Parts: sequence; structure tokens; C-alpha cells
Amino acid sequence: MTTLLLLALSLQDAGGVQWYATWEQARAEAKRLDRPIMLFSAAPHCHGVSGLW
Amino acid sequence: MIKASRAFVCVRPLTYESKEEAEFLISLFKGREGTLENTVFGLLDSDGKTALSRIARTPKMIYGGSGKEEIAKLAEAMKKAAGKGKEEPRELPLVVDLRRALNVAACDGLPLAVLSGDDDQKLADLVWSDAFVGRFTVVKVSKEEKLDAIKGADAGAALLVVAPGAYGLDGTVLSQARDAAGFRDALESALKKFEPIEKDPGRHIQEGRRAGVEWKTEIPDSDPGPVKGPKRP
Repeated sequence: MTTLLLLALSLQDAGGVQWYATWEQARAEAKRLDRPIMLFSAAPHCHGVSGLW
Repeated sequence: MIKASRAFVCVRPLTYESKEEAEFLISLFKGREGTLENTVFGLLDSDGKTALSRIARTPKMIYGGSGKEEIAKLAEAMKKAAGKGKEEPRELPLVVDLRRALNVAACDGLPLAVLSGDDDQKLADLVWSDAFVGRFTVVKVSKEEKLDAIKGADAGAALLVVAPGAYGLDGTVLSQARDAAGFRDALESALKKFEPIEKDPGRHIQEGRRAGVEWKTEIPDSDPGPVKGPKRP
């Protein structure tokens, strides 16, 4: 999944996207911090093999 | 896009790993066969309900473009949607458990910070700092948790920073800290040592299957797979 690979890209000096991993925590943080949400669910396996989105 | 993401709460629920999250995701977007597909994407307001974009499988399906152009279009949309927000310390962004955290870190090609104990906010302040943001996957474990999957783990460490194996089923310690005073040094040291594993997707899958790697999802994977062309007569 090209998009996910690009989103996972961590630039050497800048760092990548910092993801929350659960909807429950993200929803609470978004409300607390009054920030919009970018949601992108993904399965951490490809054809049943882990280690690849 | 990475810079634009800082104004957002970016969440990546693991598809097929939670029944409750699956129900939420499918309420946002039903796939081609009415089931939950393996990716769902969208921008939502801070209430977690109001959509700021269409919801689809990927940003490309909403904004168009391909590769870096897709990401640039997403960044533009995010800049327009971003409000001011409150400048308050963020919580530690935790993957739900060690098993999934090793896998997520492997997928992302990032080191995994494994916290034991109660210094969550001290680690959170570092993880969200300019020096470290977006450079670690994070998980918290209990002091009783077995760390057999992590080579070189000191059970008494407050923080382990781990290089995940290729399939995210195990890892190797890069650095560790006995208490919060050592967290910064442990993170810096790990980044200097860490070398992400380069993966060719086809080979990764082929070799994984040969090795018997089979990820067990919490709920059945309901993605119908690639779009099939019309049947030949």
C-alpha cells in the first residue's frame, strides 16, 4: 500500500507521522486538545504475513 | 504532510484487531461487499463524528494523485482543515499490547519503545518532542509481562528500546534505561544504532510463508482482496 508506506516514512531529521493506535485514545485526545483527526486504519499483515502493511 | 500532521490527532486503528473498533470503522465506511476493508481513511473534526472529508479507503480515492502527489494533496487538505488546538502535553500514543506493537514497529520500520512502570508522561514529553516525534512506536507493559520475544531484555529496566524483527514477531534490545533519568539517552542511543530492514513486499511475503509466518487477527479479515477484472468469456 503505497500511501501507507509513504505515511510511515520517517525522514532522517524530521521524523514521521506520530500515530495513536486506538480510536478510544485518539478520540479523547482530539476532544481534550480541540484538534481535528486524521484516521487511517490499516492491517499489519499482507496475505497473512506480518511485518508489512 | 508530516508537518501538517502535527496539528492533528493522527490515529491508525489496527484493522481486524478489535471488534469494537471494527464496528466503528464500518460505521464510517462499508467496502465493496458491505464489509470492513483493510484500510479506512478520513479527516474528522475534534468531536470524532463530524466528517471534514469524504471517507474512503485511501487519500488517493478522495484527493486523487499518486505516490508523492497523493501525499501533497493530502497535506493541502490537512492545512485547510487544521484549527488552532490547545498547546498541552500529549499522552503517550500506545499500541494496545507488546505483540501488536512489535508488528506495527516492523511494518513502519521504526524502533519500539517499551515502557515499564509509571513514567508515562516523562516518556510522552520526549516522544512528542521535536527530536523524537514520529521516530518510535510505543507500548507499555506491566512489570510481570514476559519479554521472551525480546533478545537482551533486562527485566528491571524502566525503558527498553527495541529493533523489531522483520516479521514483527520478536526484537533485539538497542538500548535501555533503569529509570526516567535515562530515557533521553536511551532514545538517542537507539536511533544511532537502529537500521531499518529494507523489504521487498513480494519476497517478504514469499519468505514469510515459507517460514510459516501467519498473523492471527482478532476478528476475521473481511477484505475482499484486489478488484477483479471482468471474467473472460
